[in-house]
Amino acid sequence: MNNPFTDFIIGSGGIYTIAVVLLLFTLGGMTVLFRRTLLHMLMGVELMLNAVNLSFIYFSRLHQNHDGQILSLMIFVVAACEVAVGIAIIVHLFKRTGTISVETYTAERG
Amino acid sequence: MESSLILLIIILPLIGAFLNGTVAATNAYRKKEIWGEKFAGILAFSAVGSSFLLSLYAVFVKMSGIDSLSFTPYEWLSVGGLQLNLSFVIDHLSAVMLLVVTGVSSVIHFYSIGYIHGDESSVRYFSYLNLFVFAMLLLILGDSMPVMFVGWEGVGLCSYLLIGFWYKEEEKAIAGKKAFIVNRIGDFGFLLGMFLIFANVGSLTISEVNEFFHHNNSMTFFWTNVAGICLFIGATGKSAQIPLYVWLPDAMAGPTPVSALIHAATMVTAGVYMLCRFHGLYLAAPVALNVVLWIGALTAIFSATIAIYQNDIKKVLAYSTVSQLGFMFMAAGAGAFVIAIFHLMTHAFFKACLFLGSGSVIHAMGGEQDIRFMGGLKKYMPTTYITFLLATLAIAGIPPFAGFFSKDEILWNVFASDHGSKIVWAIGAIAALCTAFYMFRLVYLTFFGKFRGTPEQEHHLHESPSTMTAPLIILGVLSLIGGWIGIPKLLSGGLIPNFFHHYLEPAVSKYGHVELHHYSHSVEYSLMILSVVIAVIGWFTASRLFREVKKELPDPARYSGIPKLLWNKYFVDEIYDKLIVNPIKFLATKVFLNISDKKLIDGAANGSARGWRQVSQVFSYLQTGNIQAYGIYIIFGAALAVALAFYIY
Amino acid sequence: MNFDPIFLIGEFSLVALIVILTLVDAMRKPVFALLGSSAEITPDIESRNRQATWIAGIGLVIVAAVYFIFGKATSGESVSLLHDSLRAGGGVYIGKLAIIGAGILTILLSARYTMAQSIPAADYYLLLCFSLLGALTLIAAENFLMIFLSLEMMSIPIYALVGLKRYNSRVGESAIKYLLLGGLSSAFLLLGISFIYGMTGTLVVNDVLTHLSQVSQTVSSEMLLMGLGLVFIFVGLAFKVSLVPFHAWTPDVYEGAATPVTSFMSVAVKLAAFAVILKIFAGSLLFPAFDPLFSRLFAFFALLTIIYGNSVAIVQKNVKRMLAYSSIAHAGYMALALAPMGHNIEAVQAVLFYGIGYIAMNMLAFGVLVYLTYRDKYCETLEDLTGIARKYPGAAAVMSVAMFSLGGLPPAVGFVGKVQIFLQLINGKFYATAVIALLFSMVALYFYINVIVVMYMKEPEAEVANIDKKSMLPVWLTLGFSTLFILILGILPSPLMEWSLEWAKMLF
Repeated sequence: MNNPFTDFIIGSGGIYTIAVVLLLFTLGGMTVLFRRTLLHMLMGVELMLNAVNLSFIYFSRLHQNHDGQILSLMIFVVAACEVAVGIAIIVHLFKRTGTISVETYTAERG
Repeated sequence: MESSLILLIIILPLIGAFLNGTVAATNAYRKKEIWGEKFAGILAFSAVGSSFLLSLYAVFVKMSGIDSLSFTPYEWLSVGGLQLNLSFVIDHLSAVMLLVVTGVSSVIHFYSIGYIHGDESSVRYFSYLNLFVFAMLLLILGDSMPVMFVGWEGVGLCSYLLIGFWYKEEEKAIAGKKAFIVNRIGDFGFLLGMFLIFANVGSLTISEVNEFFHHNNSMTFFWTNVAGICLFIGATGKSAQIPLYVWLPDAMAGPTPVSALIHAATMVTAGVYMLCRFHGLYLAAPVALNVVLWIGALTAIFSATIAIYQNDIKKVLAYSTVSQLGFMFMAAGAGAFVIAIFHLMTHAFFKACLFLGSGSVIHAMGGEQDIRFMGGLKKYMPTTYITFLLATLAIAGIPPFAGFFSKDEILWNVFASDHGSKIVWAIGAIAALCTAFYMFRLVYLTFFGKFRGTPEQEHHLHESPSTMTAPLIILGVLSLIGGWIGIPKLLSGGLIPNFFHHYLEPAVSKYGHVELHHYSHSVEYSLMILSVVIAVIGWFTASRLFREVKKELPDPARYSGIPKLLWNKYFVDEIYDKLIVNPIKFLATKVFLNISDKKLIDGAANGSARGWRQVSQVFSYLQTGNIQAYGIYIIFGAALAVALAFYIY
Repeated sequence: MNFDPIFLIGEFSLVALIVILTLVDAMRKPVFALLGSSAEITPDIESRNRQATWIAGIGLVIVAAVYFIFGKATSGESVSLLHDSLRAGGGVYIGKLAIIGAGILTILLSARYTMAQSIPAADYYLLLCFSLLGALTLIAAENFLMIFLSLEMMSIPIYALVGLKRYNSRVGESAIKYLLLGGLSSAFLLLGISFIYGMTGTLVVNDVLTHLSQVSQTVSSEMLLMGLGLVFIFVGLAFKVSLVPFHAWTPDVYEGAATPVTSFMSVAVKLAAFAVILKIFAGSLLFPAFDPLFSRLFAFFALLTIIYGNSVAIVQKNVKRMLAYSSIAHAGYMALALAPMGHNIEAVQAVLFYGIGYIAMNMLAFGVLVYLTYRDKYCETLEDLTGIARKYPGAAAVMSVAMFSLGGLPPAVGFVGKVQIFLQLINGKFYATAVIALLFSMVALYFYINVIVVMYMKEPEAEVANIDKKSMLPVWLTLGFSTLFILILGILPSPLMEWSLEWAKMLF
């Protein structure tokens, strides 16, 4: 089966958008994996989600339907919730130990 | 009617177990007794006893003239067009087993009432014992492999619970654990065999499996044999054969009636029984059958030699059990399934008698089990002595005791059968010699000569109460006459038909018959005489050496050479520890645990510290903390999945 | 499109419960002020907790009853609701009941915590109910939008719940670990969804599957992109059910969280996530282009999970951690049945059967830990279990039942579950896989049985501590129900098989 979308994405302009998405996603991932504070990691997760948002909006435009856009709005909402909980926990941790450096929190292991 | 009869036979012990179990739990919790050990014992005994009576009724009245009774109360699973039913069958094979198990169990339950008297958890003991009988009945009567497996696991569990019954002693808990682990290895084989059969036959009903292998065996020769060997591995676990026999001697840590019931008469014979149930498969798998034959023979000689140098009365009997089980497997391996079951039955009588007798001795000795400190008990405990002697004569193979007929027929079949071998026959004959020797050594050291224990012990010596001696008498008599139902045609000049063969024939020879080579009667006679001579030689030697022990018996610690090897049971436990147990522990603690956690990360840290500065700058991010390490695992997993995708396309 | 609210009766009544919980707790002060009772204006935390516990417990039972009675009408045929967002009715009825049941058991276990500790009980139950709501919509979702939303609705309250246990300094650590890694995995899930969306232009699972079925078997860029999308979705969901190597959060979070929360995570969350995996992959495995990839993918990761989980569990000293590794291993068994899944519906049914059975087993195991909350400490390590059989024979007995079932020994339901999974593997000709999995399930018996050995056959070093006697009844209810469930369905499994088959029909 010949899929016109595949051809477009692979063959023409679409590939650049995908590249940006993947770049952002990777950057976000790197942030999660390599930054030293919990807050930065949380931001990294947000960056990854935003990369995905971009991808959804692009595909939504490509397919001329709204599903992708709605999903990206939902991602915003969910990300906000996640940040709310995340920040609360981080603040709680900071209050107790005075640091939000990742290395501090390795008590549970094995 | 028939169905409720079968159901009742199975369920009665379960009810007993449930009632006693509930009461045991509440007794312990409330710290006051609802009912005591007396009632518990009577309850347990009557549950098993009525099960026995019903079995008698079922086998002799209901089954007269028909081949089998079967009953399917429930469709258990249905997977992929396969119906697994909770179904039970009493055919002639399971009938024999049913009678032996319920009968011997009844006797031993009765014995237990006297034996366990005064123990604080006797109610719990009886509930375990009943539960065991229930599981054993599932194993025997189950017509499909999963039901059999449920029983198989159930008896293992009960054995395990009962070995560790006096769990306050650390050693006994360890013995229980060992039994459990060794049996898992066996179960793994059993399950593999089951899966192989399922994958090829598409059914797990035992009769259908046999039918399949007999009529349209579409399984290749190789896989048929593999399936047979897998099932046999299961049998080696349960029935304590090389290389999985190590748990049985340790299992003697349990109460003596348990050793008699579970570790001598019934549970350990489950492997032999299973092989006989699958005779259709095994007759199609000559290689597997040969493996069975050789393993049986090696086990027989191996443990018989170990038994010679043991000083613990129960350990001697334990190794003797392993050895006798080896004989049964030899019979099965020679294709003589009828004989295997015959020996299983006679062994149940005389070995149960021996164990109960040893229990009686230990009871009188106040817990002492070392035969070096016994002697001369004959005059204190005449009943125990006489029954013990009857059973010893039986196991040694002196005619006309039960063991003679079965053991002689095993040797004859191994000698003459297509599947047998002369070398195995020779091994079996030597093992028989050892058997007679160590058994009479045991008898002489225990009952003859002068008492070698402390004066205090001597003061307490007494004959056991009648609840304990009555079972001894029953089993002793059975050890004498139990073999008479299977007197070879040859011996009676063809006058008396071999009732046992005749009875079992339809059940075990349905799927082919193993032919015996033709030898003249004189060969058979001379072999028979030879086996009697062998037994007598063993007896005579033991009598010369141990009848009157003058000097003190040597301390095992000072053994050297072959005695040392035998005393230490060929160092098998130590070898297992070194080769198997330690590496697994090492793998679990050192490798997996540390990779998952600090060693990988710390190791990377140290490595990077030593040099390789440039790369360590990148790698050092890996060590920032656990969350990120976990994140890396996730990324790694994703990469792995993607790589797999590209690899596959 | 006509919308019949009866199909969402469970969700609606749960939402009503959430509203009531919120209002009652929030309005407590004003109501007492209006009544003029000055003593009650600052009610002590214990009475407040008791109130919330009662409301949540009775409320959820009512929700279950309402759904059981009124939802029954929907169990015949399923309908698609809200523009192909949710599929309600039919076999989903069974799934939702199972999830609500797990919720009730969790609340019963929680009572002992929330009544005694200074946890804000109203918040606790509120979060639990939200998570439950997410799980309910998750198993009904048939749209990637809805799947994502429900997944997050289920997970985010759990992040907070894990962090709610206030007395333990490690709590925050577990919570942040779970949250950050959960976010990471969600990002992967979304990336996968976006790829699929980009290729097909739709978010409705069934439409996507239709597209997938038309992908030709020859290697093409289209197939690669779609395959990549599916692989990323797999990664995101594998995290939720904790397959190795996406599992690393599991032991830490399970250990750190309050025991009832752990039990909820290990059963309801896992079952719901598996339902989604089945929904997406049971279909795609049917298609010639993706079957070879995904059956191997699942077999590979499932085996890795079984091997790793069972091996590491052996050396654990902490029972909760041990159960965490055990739950990793169990996820492996369930995933294992997905390998031959492309070939028949019974594999799907086997997974669901296992998942539902697993609810009872794990609830029982964790329930015993909750039961054995001592006066001065929680029961968490093997040492705390040593020699308890004398003092607490009932607890020891039901714990043994749980260990039997988890170990896959007869006559427990875990045995039937494992038998089905292995039979499926053999049917699908995954012989080597089956043998390795079987071997490691034998290894697993070691640590399960070790618990029984410790309870029955070891003498405790000090005397076994006295347990806290407060609110024991709900825990006993949980223990009793789970034990009966395990034993009865272990011996007579056909009802559960029929139920799970009903549910499987919806997912296949």
